Amino acid sequence: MAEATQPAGVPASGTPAPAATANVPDPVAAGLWRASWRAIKSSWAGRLSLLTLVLIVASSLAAPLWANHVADSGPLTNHLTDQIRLNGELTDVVSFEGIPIGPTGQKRFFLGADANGRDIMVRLLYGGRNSLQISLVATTITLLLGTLFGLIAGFFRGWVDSVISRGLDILQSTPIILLGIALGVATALGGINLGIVKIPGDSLFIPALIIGVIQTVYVARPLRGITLSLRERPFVEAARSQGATNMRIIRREILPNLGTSLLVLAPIIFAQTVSYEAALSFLGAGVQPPNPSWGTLISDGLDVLVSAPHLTIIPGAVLAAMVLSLNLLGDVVREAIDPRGMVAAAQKDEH
Amino acid sequence: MSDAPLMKVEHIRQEFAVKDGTLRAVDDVTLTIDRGETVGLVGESGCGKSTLARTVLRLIEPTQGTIALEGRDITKVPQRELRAIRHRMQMVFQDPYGSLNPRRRIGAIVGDALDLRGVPKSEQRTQVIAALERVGLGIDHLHRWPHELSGGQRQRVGVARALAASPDLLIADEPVSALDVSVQAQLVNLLVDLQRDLGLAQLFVAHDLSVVRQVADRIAVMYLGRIVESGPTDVVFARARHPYTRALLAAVPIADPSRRGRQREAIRGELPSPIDPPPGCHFHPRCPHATDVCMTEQPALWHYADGGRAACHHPYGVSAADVAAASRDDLASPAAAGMSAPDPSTADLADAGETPAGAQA
Repeated sequence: MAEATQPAGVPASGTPAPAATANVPDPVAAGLWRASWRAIKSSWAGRLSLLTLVLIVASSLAAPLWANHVADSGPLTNHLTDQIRLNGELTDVVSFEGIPIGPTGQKRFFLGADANGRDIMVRLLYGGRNSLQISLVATTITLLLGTLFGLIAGFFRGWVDSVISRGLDILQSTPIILLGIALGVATALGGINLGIVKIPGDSLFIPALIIGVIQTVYVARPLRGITLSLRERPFVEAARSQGATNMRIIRREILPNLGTSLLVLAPIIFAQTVSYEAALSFLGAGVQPPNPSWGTLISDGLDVLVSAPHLTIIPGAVLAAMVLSLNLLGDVVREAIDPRGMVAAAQKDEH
Repeated sequence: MSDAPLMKVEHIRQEFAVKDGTLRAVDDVTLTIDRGETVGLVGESGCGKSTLARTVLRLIEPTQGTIALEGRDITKVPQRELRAIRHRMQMVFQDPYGSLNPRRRIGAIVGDALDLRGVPKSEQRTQVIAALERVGLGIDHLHRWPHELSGGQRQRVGVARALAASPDLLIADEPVSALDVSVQAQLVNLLVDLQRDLGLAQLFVAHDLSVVRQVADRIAVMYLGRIVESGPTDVVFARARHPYTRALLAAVPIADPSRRGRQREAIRGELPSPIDPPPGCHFHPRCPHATDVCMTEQPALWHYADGGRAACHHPYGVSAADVAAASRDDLASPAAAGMSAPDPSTADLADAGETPAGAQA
C-alpha cells in the first residue's frame, strides 16, 4: 500500500510541531481578497495597473456605445470611398494612393482608419472585447482543468499521477504557439463537430478552448505539488480518522486551501492568455478576419506599417499595457498572499 | 454489552519499508483498554507510541496483529465499513496548529463528525455548540477561524471535534506537548473531567510521566516498539521494575530542594535505530544492569501478582516468590518459547534501598 512506503508520516511521535511556520503571521488569514485588495491599494504599481485594467476593460465593454453614438460606424463597416470634414476640408478616408487617414481627434475616425476605411477606434474597442472574452473564457478553462488534473494527480498519486503527469509532459514538450497554430488552423476550417456539440469555425470559442487547454500545464503542475503537501497535513489525517471519504477530503479540506495558489496564478495565466490570443490571431490561427482582436489589428496594420504606423502601434500599445498591468498586479497580489513563495516553489520542483 | 474489552489490540507489529531496510516501529504489542478506563502510553520520541495510536485507529494498516473493538475484529474490515464505525473512536492530535484546517470555520470543523453521521443540518448547530461548551468554548467561537484562537483554544476545538462524534474511545496523541505548561494543566483537567463525566475510555499518549500520572488508570511504557512495563498507575510509580521505567521516573523533576541530591538513574546513550535494533533486550546497550542473557534473549513480559508487568531479565525489587507467582505473556515469535525467568538474585544488588523518585510524591 502506498501509505506503508511513505516514511514522512512514520516517526511522527515526538517530533515537535511545525511551530516555526505557525508563528509567522499568516497574511492569508485575514482573507485572500481583503489581503490582495489592501496590497493593491497601498502600492503605486498596484493602483496604476488596476486603473489601466479597469480603463481597458470598461472601454471595451462600452464598444457598442462608442460605435453607435460617437463614431456612427460598426467594426466591420467599410468607408473606403467616404470623405470626412477635417479642419474644414473634405478629406478622403483612404487616399487615392491607398494610404488611410491618421488619427483625427474627432468623433469619427478618432484614431484614424485602416486600409479598408474602417474606424480604428471602433475596431480597437470591439477587438478588445473579443480579446478579453477569449482570454476570460480561456483562463477559466485553464484554471478549471489545471485544478482538476493537479488535484487528482497530487491527491491520488500512484498510477493516476503518472498518467496525468506524463500527459502534461507531452503537452509541455510541444512548442505552445506551434500547437496553437496547428489546432487553430485545423479548427478554423471545419469548426469542431462532436456530434452533439457543433462549433462553427469562426466562433470565438475555438481560440478560447485551444488556449485554455494548452495552458493547463502551468496550473496543473504547481497545484499538484501543493496538493501533494496538503494531503500530508494533520487536518487531512483528522478528517480521515473521522471517516471522511476521499471526495469529502478533496472538497472540504484540500480545495479550500488551493485558493491562495489560484489567486496567485490567475493574473499571470490571464496575462499569458492575452498574449497567446494576440499571437495566434496575429498568425491567423485565432480570431478570424474580418473580426477584430488585438492580434488581428496588429496583423492588419503590418501591411501598411510604413505609411500608417499608427495601425500597428496603437493596438500594440494597448496589448502591452494590458499584459504589463496584469503581470504587475499579479506580482502585487503574490507578494501579499504568498510571501514565502510557496506557489512559485511548487512551480519549480515539479517532479 | 459483551464482556470483551472496549479495545483490544494483540501482537501488533508495524513495519515500514525505508531506504536502509525495514523499520519496525511497533513490535508485538498487546494492549487492552476497558470502558471508561484511561491508559497512558509513555515513551521517548520515536519509540512507536504515536504509530501504535494510529494503528489502533487503522489510520495505518498493521503489518501483523489484530485490532478488536468490543470483541469484533476490525483488522480486515473494508474501509467503507470502517468509516461507519470511526465515530466510536476519535483522535485528538498533537499539533493544535496543523490539525485544524486553516480555511474552515470552527463550527464547520466541529460539525464534521455530525455531518458524516448524517445528522440533519438543523440539529448540527445545537450539538456543535454543546460540544464547544463541553470543552469550555462557546457559541461565539462558532464562526471563528482557527488562526483567531490560541494554541490551548485550538486544542479544545480538537477535543470538541472528537466529542461531537460521541465516541466510546478517545485517542489523545500527545495532546498537551505542544502547549505551554499552564495551558497543559487546563487541558489535562478537561480530559480528566471528560473521562469522569462521560465515562470516556482514553488512550493517552505522552512522553511526560507527570502528565500521564494525572490522567491514567494504567500505564504502559514503550521502548523501541515494545512494551517494557505496564500496570496500574500506582504500581508503576511505586514499584517500577524495569530499569528504563525507573530512569524515566527519575527524570521527572521534583519541586523539593531537599531531595536535590538524590541519586539519578541516568540513561546512557541514544535511542538505537528501530531499523537495526539491538538483539535480545532492546534496552541492554543503555542498561546499567545488563548481563549476557540480556544481549541474546528477548525478555518476556512477566505478569506479577500486583498487576504490574515487566519485560526484564533483572527486574527491580522482585523476590524469588514473586517470580514463582508470576505468569508470562505469550510472545508471537516461537523463539520465545524457551525463555528464562526473571532473575531475582541480581535484582537486589542493583536496588540499593533507593525507591523510584515518583513513589515519594
